[in-house]
Amino acid sequence: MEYFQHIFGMFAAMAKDPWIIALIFGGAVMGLLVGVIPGLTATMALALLINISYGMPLERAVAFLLAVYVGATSGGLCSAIMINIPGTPAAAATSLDGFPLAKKGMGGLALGTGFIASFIGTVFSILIMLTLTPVLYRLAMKFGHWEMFLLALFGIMICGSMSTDKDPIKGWIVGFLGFALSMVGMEEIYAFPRFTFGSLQLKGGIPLIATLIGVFGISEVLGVLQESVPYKIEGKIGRIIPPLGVFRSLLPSVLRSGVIGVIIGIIPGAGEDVGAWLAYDMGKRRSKDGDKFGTGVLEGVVCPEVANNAVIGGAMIPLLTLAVPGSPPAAMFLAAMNLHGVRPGPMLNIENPAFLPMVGAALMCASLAMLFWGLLLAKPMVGILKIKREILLPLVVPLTVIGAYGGGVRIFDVYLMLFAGVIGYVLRQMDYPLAPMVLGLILGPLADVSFRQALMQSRGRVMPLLERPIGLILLAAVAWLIWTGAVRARTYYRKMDAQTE
Amino acid sequence: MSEQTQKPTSEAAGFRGSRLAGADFITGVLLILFGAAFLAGALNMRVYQRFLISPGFFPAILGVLFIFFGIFLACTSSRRGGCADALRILSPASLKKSFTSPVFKKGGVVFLLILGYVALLGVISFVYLSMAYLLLTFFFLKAARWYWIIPIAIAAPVIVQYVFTQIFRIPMP
Repeated sequence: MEYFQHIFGMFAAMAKDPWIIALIFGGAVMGLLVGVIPGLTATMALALLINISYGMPLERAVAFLLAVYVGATSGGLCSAIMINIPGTPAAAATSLDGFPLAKKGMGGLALGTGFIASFIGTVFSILIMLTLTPVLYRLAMKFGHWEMFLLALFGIMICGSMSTDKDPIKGWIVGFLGFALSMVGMEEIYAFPRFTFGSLQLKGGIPLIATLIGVFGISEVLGVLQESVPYKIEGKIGRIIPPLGVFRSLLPSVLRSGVIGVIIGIIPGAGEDVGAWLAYDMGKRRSKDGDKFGTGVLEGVVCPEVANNAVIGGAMIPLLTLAVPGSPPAAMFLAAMNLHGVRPGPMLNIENPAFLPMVGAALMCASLAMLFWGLLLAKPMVGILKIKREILLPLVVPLTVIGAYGGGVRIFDVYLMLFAGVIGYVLRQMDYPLAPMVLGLILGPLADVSFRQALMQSRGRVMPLLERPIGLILLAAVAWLIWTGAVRARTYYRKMDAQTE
Repeated sequence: MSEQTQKPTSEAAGFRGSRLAGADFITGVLLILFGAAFLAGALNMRVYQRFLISPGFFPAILGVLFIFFGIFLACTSSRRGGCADALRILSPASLKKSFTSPVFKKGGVVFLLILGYVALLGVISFVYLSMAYLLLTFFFLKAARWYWIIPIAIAAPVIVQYVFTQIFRIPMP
């Protein structure tokens, strides 16, 4: 009871601070606008706007960044519905039914339904987050070095498997490359400089924010500008606010998609797009109108939109309890929190007990702001799609530079950002997912230090792991992931072999 | 799904598969080399008491993993003709064709403009450099008519500089 009073207290405190309200509404509208533009994802929105939060106190930075996250995740539905090009990968499934609705002249109704579904998804996930996180804090306190190492390994393996629908081995390779990048700099046990090549700048390690901005920002600018396809807005927008009865009849789909979104959010690195596709697929199979999916039904918009926003709250659960981000934008948020001196993980509840209620209250306000702007600006936002990407994307580059520079106030970080951007671009061109790399960069030091400390504690023996139930469960999960991944990879390569023959 | 992302025809898929086989082979070889270098670097690190707890232990495991993945990629792509495709991709004629393709040229110039922008960051003031970068990029991409391009390229950096330094107190490069 005291816990919920704390949450309501935090909510009231935020509502009373005009700066926080302004930042939440500002962040939500900025996120929406970035999300609307095809090619600019929620991660990129955070990458572009993270620099604004550098000088803010913690509460304001949290409120602002979460508002950007919620806004950008929802904004993608505009272009998915109106031009059949998802603004963010999270909205790709939305276009399957949203675009046919727009062609029928019901684009406005699809937009309004999408924004309300996004709101419901976010609120649902916040409630789950606020309920589950305290329980997980207690469980996380039981994690020792072996468990932390296996958790990092599990994170990379599952992220590699989930972030690509073809070959999980490519996802794993990228994840381990992230691990390798995180080895650069002074290691944490003996303060020994590794792979620094005598460079003083590299002794501090690879800066997370600059790398994230490069991988998700610069690589997207290069990719999108290279093959710009002109848009065509289909049909009239029409009415925006849907009748209330729409959601009453879709309640089972809403609940199912919300649960799917939260579960996918909890899985490290899986992301909003995976949640949306799964919810759409499940909706198509379970709905009595499943055969009409793809022809323009509102349920086909509701399922992915509830799920992709429910990922937000889900992704916060492992982030807050174990410092393992559930999605790439959550990784960006983690980087920003590190910059503000907050260390998410099992100790967060003891070191900063107000942080979880703060995140819950900020997310709640952010979802309200997103709904407000979404319904109010749905029509003008479609107008943004008329602005050429050749104008918008070059404007992004100076913002990425400020973001990379502001993190450490070093030009060197900007060079690293560009280098990371090129790597990200090349990997994208070769069908490699990027999320595992980011997760690898975050989890690398945890895996390295935990593994060596575990070996130190057990005097080089692996047997003590077998006496730890949580460790054994994690070990079994890793083994299962390797097995299923190998089977999937074999199927994929056999298909490729057959195609070549 | 959007028309641009619809399933390709089997011929197109075969061509892309063949290109990917070549790319996979090259990646496999590069991974082996990277893994070997990483392993060598890890093994040369100082050993404290036992190697198992030394700084080089974890990177050494990663090095071995990269070599393993590299061999795996090279072998699986070879079965799909990856080796021959890699040689074809790296042949002078193919490289010339790639480098002279309109998409590569466009991407290359966009990248060079960004590279020049980043390289000159500490040398020229942020505002003037950003103006020059935006002007050149807009004109190269034919983003709009000149009477739109010039005001946007001038106004955007000034606004960004003002907002970030005066309102958000963010240090500028």
